[in-house]
Amino acid sequence: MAETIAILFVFFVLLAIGMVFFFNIKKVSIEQESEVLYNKKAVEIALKANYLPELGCRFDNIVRDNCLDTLRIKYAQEVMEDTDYYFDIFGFSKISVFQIYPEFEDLGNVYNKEQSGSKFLTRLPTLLYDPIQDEYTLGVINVETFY
Amino acid sequence: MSKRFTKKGQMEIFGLLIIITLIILGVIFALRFVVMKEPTNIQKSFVQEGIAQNMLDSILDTKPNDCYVSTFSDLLVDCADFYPLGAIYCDNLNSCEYSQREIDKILNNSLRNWSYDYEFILERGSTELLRVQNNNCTMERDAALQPFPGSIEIKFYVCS
Repeated sequence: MAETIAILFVFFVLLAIGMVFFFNIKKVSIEQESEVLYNKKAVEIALKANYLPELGCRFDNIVRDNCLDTLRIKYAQEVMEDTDYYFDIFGFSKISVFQIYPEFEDLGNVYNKEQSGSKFLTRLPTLLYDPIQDEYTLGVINVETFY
Repeated sequence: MSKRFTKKGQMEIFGLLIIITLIILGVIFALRFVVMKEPTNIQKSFVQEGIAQNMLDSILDTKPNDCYVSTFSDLLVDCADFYPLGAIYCDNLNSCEYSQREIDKILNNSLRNWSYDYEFILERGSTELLRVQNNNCTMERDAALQPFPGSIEIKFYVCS
């Protein structure tokens, strides 16, 4: 009798250890999967920001790929922060544009809805068009996605 | 009587051994497939691929500073056509020297700061005319290619 109880005790202890281990492993796995999902979301937002027609260079109403208009960038934030339309597209993220050539220059934020917590940073090089000077410079679009 | 108990005890220990073996196998399996699994970095692979193409396209269309030509592609084509002297001079340097200096400056201020390795190569046929690099891209790399008339090619590799 005592032997059976001892065996059962050991069995349940092992079962408990196994369950704790299993749930910990499952937790790690869920965390990894959610990170992949947030990763996908960050990439999606970066792509949307880089190809947003509102900011793109237009010539005779044709939008040029991989090109942002510096004049549109300048006035984008006040327009984009006044409406919920862009929150549905970008969620909690911060989109800023920098010129890196010929000189480094912060062109400001296009969209800024920050949230405390972790974030992903995605950088994409882009062409910047100055419609006043009719010149192209080189820039970077920084997209920080918060989760 | 005691012999019978000993045999029963041995059978139970045998059962426990099977359970422990199964648990150990389960732990090894879990460690192998869950904990030691390489995290999928979609962002990194996408961004690296996007960086190579976007950077090359953007550099080629950018206006060089202190120079009368309107794009870097004009300078690079001139460098390939009139190698090694070049017909265009900017800031007292010929098109090859000037392109080398400015492209190095651009990539240094961007990709190098973001911890990427890269190789920017201008070729005519199989002859290499210009190279700007930060280490060699021997590992997995993303490439962007821009051909021009006259067997001129610009290759840009990004790796990390």
